[in-house]
Amino acid sequence: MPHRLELTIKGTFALVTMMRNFEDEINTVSNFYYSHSSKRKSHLDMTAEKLKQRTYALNKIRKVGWAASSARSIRGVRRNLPILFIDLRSKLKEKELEDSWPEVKGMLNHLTTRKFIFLLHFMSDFYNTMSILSESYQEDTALLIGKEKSRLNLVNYSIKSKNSYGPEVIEMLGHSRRYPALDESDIDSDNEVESHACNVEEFLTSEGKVFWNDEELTANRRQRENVLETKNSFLEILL
Amino acid sequence: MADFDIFVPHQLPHNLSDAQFYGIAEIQRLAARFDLEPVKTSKEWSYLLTSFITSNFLCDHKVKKSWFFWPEALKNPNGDLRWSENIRKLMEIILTLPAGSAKTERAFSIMKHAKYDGRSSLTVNTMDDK
Repeated sequence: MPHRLELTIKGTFALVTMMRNFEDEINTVSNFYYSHSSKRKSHLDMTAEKLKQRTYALNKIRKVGWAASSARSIRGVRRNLPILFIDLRSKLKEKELEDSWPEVKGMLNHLTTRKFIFLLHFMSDFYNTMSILSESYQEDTALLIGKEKSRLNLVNYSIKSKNSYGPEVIEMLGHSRRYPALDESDIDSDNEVESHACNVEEFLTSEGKVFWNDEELTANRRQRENVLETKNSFLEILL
Repeated sequence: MADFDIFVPHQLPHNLSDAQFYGIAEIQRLAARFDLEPVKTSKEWSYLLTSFITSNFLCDHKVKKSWFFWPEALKNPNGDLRWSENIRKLMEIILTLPAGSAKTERAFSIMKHAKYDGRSSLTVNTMDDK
Protein backbone atom coordinates (compact mmCIF):
# COMPACT_ATOMS: atom_id res chain seq x y z
CA MET A 1 0.00 0.00 0.00
CA PRO A 2 2.70 2.60 0.76
CA HIS A 3 4.27 1.72 -2.59
CA ARG A 4 1.04 2.52 -4.43
CA LEU A 5 0.83 5.82 -2.59
CA GLU A 6 4.38 6.79 -3.56
CA LEU A 7 3.97 5.61 -7.14
CA THR A 8 0.80 7.70 -7.55
CA ILE A 9 2.56 10.84 -6.38
CA LYS A 10 5.67 10.20 -8.49
CA GLY A 11 3.50 9.45 -11.53
CA THR A 12 1.55 12.67 -11.04
CA PHE A 13 4.76 14.65 -10.72
CA ALA A 14 5.95 13.21 -14.01
CA LEU A 15 2.78 14.31 -15.84
CA VAL A 16 2.89 17.99 -14.85
CA THR A 17 5.73 19.93 -16.48
CA MET A 18 6.06 22.63 -13.86
CA MET A 19 6.23 20.04 -11.10
CA ARG A 20 9.06 18.30 -12.97
CA ASN A 21 10.88 21.61 -13.21
CA PHE A 22 10.30 22.23 -9.52
CA GLU A 23 11.85 18.85 -8.69
CA ASP A 24 14.83 19.69 -10.94
CA GLU A 25 15.35 23.00 -9.17
CA ILE A 26 15.47 21.29 -5.77
CA ASN A 27 17.97 18.77 -7.15
CA THR A 28 20.08 21.53 -8.70
CA VAL A 29 20.53 23.14 -5.28
CA SER A 30 21.56 19.81 -3.79
CA ASN A 31 23.94 19.06 -6.67
CA PHE A 32 25.55 22.48 -6.41
CA TYR A 33 26.46 22.09 -2.74
CA TYR A 34 27.18 18.36 -2.49
CA SER A 35 28.31 17.07 -5.88
CA HIS A 36 31.42 19.28 -6.18
CA SER A 37 34.15 20.25 -3.75
CA SER A 38 33.35 20.70 -0.08
CA LYS A 39 34.24 24.41 -0.36
CA ARG A 40 30.74 25.34 -1.42
CA LYS A 41 29.06 23.62 1.53
CA SER A 42 31.59 25.06 3.99
CA HIS A 43 30.98 28.54 2.50
CA LEU A 44 27.27 28.05 3.18
CA ASP A 45 28.01 26.94 6.75
CA MET A 46 30.20 30.00 7.28
CA THR A 47 27.45 32.29 5.98
CA ALA A 48 24.96 30.68 8.37
CA GLU A 49 27.42 31.04 11.24
CA LYS A 50 27.82 34.75 10.54
CA LEU A 51 24.04 35.13 10.61
CA LYS A 52 23.91 33.03 13.82
CA GLN A 53 21.66 30.46 12.16
CA ARG A 54 22.05 26.78 11.36
CA THR A 55 21.97 24.95 8.05
CA TYR A 56 19.81 21.93 7.23
CA ALA A 57 20.65 19.00 4.96
CA LEU A 58 19.93 19.66 1.27
CA ASN A 59 18.89 16.28 -0.11
CA LYS A 60 17.79 15.36 -3.60
CA ILE A 61 14.26 14.27 -4.51
CA ARG A 62 14.92 10.73 -5.65
CA LYS A 63 13.06 8.93 -8.41
CA VAL A 64 12.74 5.87 -6.18
CA GLY A 65 12.20 6.93 -2.60
CA TRP A 66 9.68 7.25 0.19
CA ALA A 67 7.44 10.29 0.53
CA ALA A 68 9.16 11.16 3.80
CA SER A 69 12.49 11.45 1.94
CA SER A 70 11.00 13.92 -0.58
CA ALA A 71 9.37 15.84 2.27
CA ARG A 72 12.76 16.12 4.00
CA SER A 73 14.49 17.46 0.88
CA ILE A 74 11.77 20.07 0.26
CA ARG A 75 11.83 21.07 3.93
CA GLY A 76 15.62 21.39 3.82
CA VAL A 77 15.52 23.88 0.94
CA ARG A 78 12.65 25.81 2.53
CA ARG A 79 14.44 26.21 5.86
CA ASN A 80 17.73 27.12 4.21
CA LEU A 81 16.24 29.49 1.66
CA PRO A 82 17.10 32.88 3.28
CA ILE A 83 20.67 31.67 3.90
CA LEU A 84 20.88 30.32 0.34
CA PHE A 85 19.90 33.74 -1.06
CA ILE A 86 22.58 35.49 0.97
CA ASP A 87 25.22 32.86 0.23
CA LEU A 88 24.65 32.82 -3.53
CA ARG A 89 24.54 36.61 -3.71
CA SER A 90 27.77 36.95 -1.77
CA LYS A 91 29.38 34.44 -4.14
CA LEU A 92 28.39 36.61 -7.07
CA LYS A 93 29.73 39.76 -5.42
CA GLU A 94 33.02 38.23 -4.35
CA LYS A 95 33.60 36.86 -7.85
CA GLU A 96 35.28 33.80 -6.40
CA LEU A 97 33.63 31.64 -9.00
CA GLU A 98 35.02 31.56 -12.48
CA ASP A 99 33.41 28.64 -14.28
CA SER A 100 30.30 28.28 -12.15
CA TRP A 101 29.26 31.96 -12.31
CA PRO A 102 26.40 31.32 -14.80
CA GLU A 103 25.21 28.38 -12.70
CA VAL A 104 24.94 30.53 -9.56
CA LYS A 105 23.28 33.37 -11.44
CA GLY A 106 20.73 31.01 -13.01
CA MET A 107 20.01 29.27 -9.72
CA LEU A 108 19.46 32.57 -7.95
CA ASN A 109 17.06 33.68 -10.68
CA HIS A 110 15.06 30.48 -10.33
CA LEU A 111 14.95 30.53 -6.53
CA THR A 112 13.64 34.10 -6.37
CA THR A 113 10.59 33.55 -8.55
CA ARG A 114 7.11 33.66 -7.04
CA LYS A 115 6.36 30.36 -8.73
CA PHE A 116 9.17 28.57 -6.90
CA ILE A 117 8.46 30.14 -3.49
CA PHE A 118 4.77 29.31 -3.73
CA LEU A 119 5.28 25.71 -4.88
CA LEU A 120 7.96 25.15 -2.24
CA HIS A 121 5.60 26.06 0.59
CA PHE A 122 2.60 24.35 -0.99
CA MET A 123 4.45 21.08 -1.61
CA SER A 124 5.99 21.22 1.84
CA ASP A 125 2.50 21.19 3.36
CA PHE A 126 1.30 18.49 1.00
CA TYR A 127 4.27 16.15 1.47
CA ASN A 128 4.21 16.50 5.26
CA THR A 129 0.61 15.27 5.31
CA MET A 130 1.37 12.44 2.92
CA SER A 131 4.50 11.26 4.69
CA ILE A 132 2.49 10.78 7.91
CA LEU A 133 0.18 8.37 6.06
CA SER A 134 3.07 6.65 4.29
CA GLU A 135 4.96 6.12 7.56
CA SER A 136 1.86 4.75 9.25
CA TYR A 137 1.79 1.97 6.61
CA GLN A 138 5.45 1.17 7.15
CA GLU A 139 5.28 0.68 10.92
CA ASP A 140 6.07 -2.79 12.27
CA THR A 141 2.76 -2.83 14.08
CA ALA A 142 0.71 -1.42 11.18
CA LEU A 143 -2.77 -2.96 10.96
CA LEU A 144 -5.56 -2.35 8.46
CA ILE A 145 -7.72 -0.99 11.28
CA GLY A 146 -8.34 2.75 10.82
CA LYS A 147 -6.33 3.01 7.60
CA GLU A 148 -9.32 3.84 5.38
CA LYS A 149 -10.08 6.86 7.54
CA SER A 150 -6.53 8.21 7.27
CA ARG A 151 -6.62 7.66 3.48
CA LEU A 152 -9.85 9.64 3.25
CA ASN A 153 -8.27 12.38 5.38
CA LEU A 154 -5.50 12.75 2.80
CA VAL A 155 -8.02 12.87 -0.06
CA ASN A 156 -10.09 15.50 1.78
CA TYR A 157 -6.97 17.52 2.51
CA SER A 158 -6.06 17.45 -1.19
CA ILE A 159 -9.57 18.59 -2.18
CA LYS A 160 -9.51 21.38 0.39
CA SER A 161 -6.09 22.59 -0.69
CA LYS A 162 -7.58 23.62 -4.04
CA ASN A 163 -9.12 26.62 -2.28
CA SER A 164 -7.70 26.91 1.22
CA TYR A 165 -4.03 26.39 1.98
CA GLY A 166 -1.94 24.68 4.63
CA PRO A 167 0.00 26.27 7.50
CA GLU A 168 3.23 26.75 5.52
CA VAL A 169 1.53 28.74 2.72
CA ILE A 170 -0.39 30.87 5.23
CA GLU A 171 2.82 31.63 7.12
CA MET A 172 4.57 32.49 3.84
CA LEU A 173 1.78 34.90 2.89
CA GLY A 174 2.05 36.50 6.32
CA HIS A 175 5.76 37.13 5.77
CA SER A 176 5.33 38.42 2.23
CA ARG A 177 4.20 41.90 1.34
CA ARG A 178 3.24 43.65 -1.85
CA TYR A 179 4.26 47.09 -3.01
CA PRO A 180 1.82 48.59 -5.51
CA ALA A 181 3.39 49.68 -8.79
CA LEU A 182 4.96 52.99 -7.88
CA ASP A 183 7.84 55.10 -9.04
CA GLU A 184 11.24 54.31 -7.64
CA SER A 185 11.23 57.56 -5.70
CA ASP A 186 8.09 56.46 -3.86
CA ILE A 187 9.59 53.12 -2.93
CA ASP A 188 12.72 54.76 -1.51
CA SER A 189 10.75 56.82 0.98
CA ASP A 190 9.44 54.20 3.39
CA ASN A 191 6.71 56.36 4.93
CA GLU A 192 4.65 56.65 1.80
CA VAL A 193 4.75 53.01 0.78
CA GLU A 194 1.73 50.89 1.62
CA SER A 195 2.87 47.41 2.53
CA HIS A 196 0.58 44.62 3.63
CA ALA A 197 0.37 40.83 3.60
CA CYS A 198 -0.86 39.27 0.33
CA ASN A 199 -3.36 36.58 -0.42
CA VAL A 200 -2.43 33.82 -2.87
CA GLU A 201 -3.83 35.47 -6.01
CA GLU A 202 -2.20 38.78 -5.14
CA PHE A 203 1.06 37.05 -4.36
CA LEU A 204 1.14 35.30 -7.73
CA THR A 205 -0.43 37.88 -10.03
CA SER A 206 0.51 41.27 -8.58
CA GLU A 207 1.93 43.79 -11.04
CA GLY A 208 3.82 45.61 -8.27
CA LYS A 209 6.90 44.49 -6.38
CA VAL A 210 6.48 41.51 -4.08
CA PHE A 211 8.84 40.82 -1.22
CA TRP A 212 9.36 37.66 0.82
CA ASN A 213 11.86 37.70 3.71
CA ASP A 214 13.10 41.08 2.38
CA GLU A 215 13.82 39.42 -0.96
CA GLU A 216 12.29 40.83 -4.10
CA LEU A 217 10.52 38.11 -6.04
CA THR A 218 10.39 38.15 -9.81
CA ALA A 219 7.54 37.05 -12.05
CA ASN A 220 7.13 37.14 -15.81
CA ARG A 221 3.80 36.97 -17.60
CA ARG A 222 3.95 33.25 -18.31
CA GLN A 223 4.61 32.37 -14.69
CA ARG A 224 1.75 34.55 -13.46
CA GLU A 225 -0.67 32.76 -15.73
CA ASN A 226 0.03 29.13 -14.96
CA VAL A 227 1.06 28.61 -11.33
CA LEU A 228 -2.44 28.12 -9.95
CA GLU A 229 -3.44 26.11 -13.02
CA THR A 230 -0.46 23.83 -12.45
CA LYS A 231 -1.35 23.33 -8.82
CA ASN A 232 -4.95 22.49 -9.69
CA SER A 233 -4.01 20.13 -12.53
CA PHE A 234 -1.59 18.34 -10.16
CA LEU A 235 -4.38 17.86 -7.62
CA GLU A 236 -6.91 16.83 -10.28
CA ILE A 237 -4.63 14.12 -11.69
CA LEU A 238 -3.87 12.94 -8.17
CA LEU A 239 -7.51 12.72 -7.14
CA MET B 1 -11.14 -1.73 3.54
CA ALA B 2 -13.55 0.72 5.20
CA ASP B 3 -15.03 -2.22 7.12
CA PHE B 4 -11.89 -2.52 9.25
CA ASP B 5 -12.50 0.98 10.67
CA ILE B 6 -15.21 -0.30 13.04
CA PHE B 7 -12.42 -1.76 15.20
CA VAL B 8 -10.85 1.64 15.98
CA PRO B 9 -10.84 1.55 19.82
CA HIS B 10 -11.92 5.13 20.52
CA GLN B 11 -14.93 4.78 18.20
CA LEU B 12 -16.42 1.75 19.99
CA PRO B 13 -19.81 2.48 21.61
CA HIS B 14 -20.12 3.25 25.32
CA ASN B 15 -23.89 2.71 25.61
CA LEU B 16 -25.63 -0.66 25.68
CA SER B 17 -28.30 0.54 23.21
CA ASP B 18 -25.63 1.49 20.62
CA ALA B 19 -23.68 -1.72 21.16
CA GLN B 20 -26.47 -3.92 19.79
CA PHE B 21 -26.32 -2.45 16.28
CA TYR B 22 -22.77 -1.11 15.98
CA GLY B 23 -20.93 -2.45 12.93
CA ILE B 24 -23.31 -5.38 12.23
CA ALA B 25 -23.19 -5.04 8.43
CA GLU B 26 -19.40 -4.65 8.39
CA ILE B 27 -18.89 -7.71 10.62
CA GLN B 28 -21.15 -9.78 8.37
CA ARG B 29 -19.21 -8.77 5.26
CA LEU B 30 -15.87 -9.52 6.94
CA ALA B 31 -17.11 -12.87 8.24
CA ALA B 32 -18.32 -13.88 4.78
CA ARG B 33 -14.96 -12.82 3.33
CA PHE B 34 -13.02 -15.07 5.73
CA ASP B 35 -15.36 -18.11 5.52
CA LEU B 36 -17.09 -17.67 8.87
CA GLU B 37 -20.82 -17.70 9.58
CA PRO B 38 -22.00 -14.09 9.11
CA VAL B 39 -25.15 -14.07 11.28
CA LYS B 40 -23.57 -16.00 14.12
CA THR B 41 -20.45 -13.82 14.07
CA SER B 42 -22.47 -10.59 14.16
CA LYS B 43 -24.41 -11.83 17.20
CA GLU B 44 -21.16 -12.74 18.93
CA TRP B 45 -19.83 -9.26 18.09
CA SER B 46 -22.82 -7.64 19.85
CA TYR B 47 -22.28 -9.84 22.93
CA LEU B 48 -18.61 -8.91 22.94
CA LEU B 49 -19.36 -5.18 22.78
CA THR B 50 -21.86 -5.53 25.61
CA SER B 51 -19.25 -7.28 27.73
CA PHE B 52 -16.77 -4.48 26.94
CA ILE B 53 -19.19 -1.97 28.46
CA THR B 54 -20.24 -4.03 31.47
CA SER B 55 -16.65 -4.95 32.37
CA ASN B 56 -15.31 -1.34 32.12
CA PHE B 57 -12.60 -2.59 29.73
CA LEU B 58 -13.23 0.35 27.35
CA CYS B 59 -12.77 2.93 30.11
CA ASP B 60 -9.53 1.30 31.26
CA HIS B 61 -8.04 1.15 27.72
CA LYS B 62 -9.51 4.34 26.29
CA VAL B 63 -6.48 5.93 24.63
CA LYS B 64 -4.70 2.75 23.52
CA LYS B 65 -3.88 2.16 19.86
CA SER B 66 -5.55 -0.72 18.02
CA TRP B 67 -2.36 -2.86 17.83
CA PHE B 68 -2.21 -2.75 21.65
CA PHE B 69 -5.92 -2.69 22.46
CA TRP B 70 -7.08 -5.82 20.61
CA PRO B 71 -4.27 -8.22 21.64
CA GLU B 72 -4.86 -7.05 25.23
CA ALA B 73 -8.58 -7.73 24.84
CA LEU B 74 -7.88 -11.18 23.36
CA LYS B 75 -5.83 -12.07 26.45
CA ASN B 76 -8.96 -11.32 28.50
CA PRO B 77 -7.03 -10.54 31.71
CA ASN B 78 -10.04 -10.42 34.08
CA GLY B 79 -11.96 -13.16 32.30
CA ASP B 80 -15.10 -11.04 31.91
CA LEU B 81 -15.03 -10.48 28.11
CA ARG B 82 -17.27 -12.77 26.03
CA TRP B 83 -15.02 -14.07 23.26
CA SER B 84 -16.91 -16.68 21.25
CA GLU B 85 -15.37 -18.94 18.63
CA ASN B 86 -16.18 -17.06 15.41
CA ILE B 87 -15.42 -13.56 16.57
CA ARG B 88 -12.15 -14.72 18.14
CA LYS B 89 -11.12 -16.30 14.83
CA LEU B 90 -12.06 -13.15 12.93
CA MET B 91 -10.07 -10.96 15.29
CA GLU B 92 -7.03 -13.23 15.05
CA ILE B 93 -7.18 -13.04 11.25
CA ILE B 94 -7.44 -9.23 11.31
CA LEU B 95 -4.52 -8.89 13.71
CA THR B 96 -2.30 -11.03 11.49
CA LEU B 97 -3.09 -9.15 8.25
CA PRO B 98 -0.24 -6.73 7.55
CA ALA B 99 -1.07 -3.24 6.24
CA GLY B 100 1.93 -3.14 3.92
CA SER B 101 4.86 -5.14 2.64
CA ALA B 102 7.51 -2.48 3.34
CA LYS B 103 9.02 -4.36 6.30
CA THR B 104 9.52 -7.60 4.35
CA GLU B 105 10.89 -5.81 1.31
CA ARG B 106 13.48 -4.09 3.48
CA ALA B 107 14.85 -7.55 4.29
CA PHE B 108 15.52 -8.16 0.57
CA SER B 109 17.19 -4.78 0.34
CA ILE B 110 19.54 -5.68 3.24
CA MET B 111 20.26 -9.08 1.66
CA LYS B 112 21.39 -7.26 -1.50
CA HIS B 113 24.17 -5.54 0.49
CA ALA B 114 25.92 -8.93 0.67
CA LYS B 115 24.50 -10.77 -2.32
CA TYR B 116 24.62 -8.13 -5.03
CA ASP B 117 24.51 -8.79 -8.79
CA GLY B 118 28.30 -8.86 -9.14
CA ARG B 119 28.54 -11.89 -6.84
CA SER B 120 26.57 -14.20 -9.08
CA SER B 121 28.48 -17.32 -7.90
CA LEU B 122 27.28 -16.81 -4.34
CA THR B 123 24.45 -19.32 -4.15
CA VAL B 124 21.70 -19.72 -1.61
CA ASN B 125 23.38 -22.92 -0.30
CA THR B 126 26.61 -21.04 0.45
CA MET B 127 24.76 -18.34 2.35
CA ASP B 128 22.62 -20.81 4.29
CA ASP B 129 23.51 -21.50 7.92
CA LYS B 130 23.40 -25.26 7.35
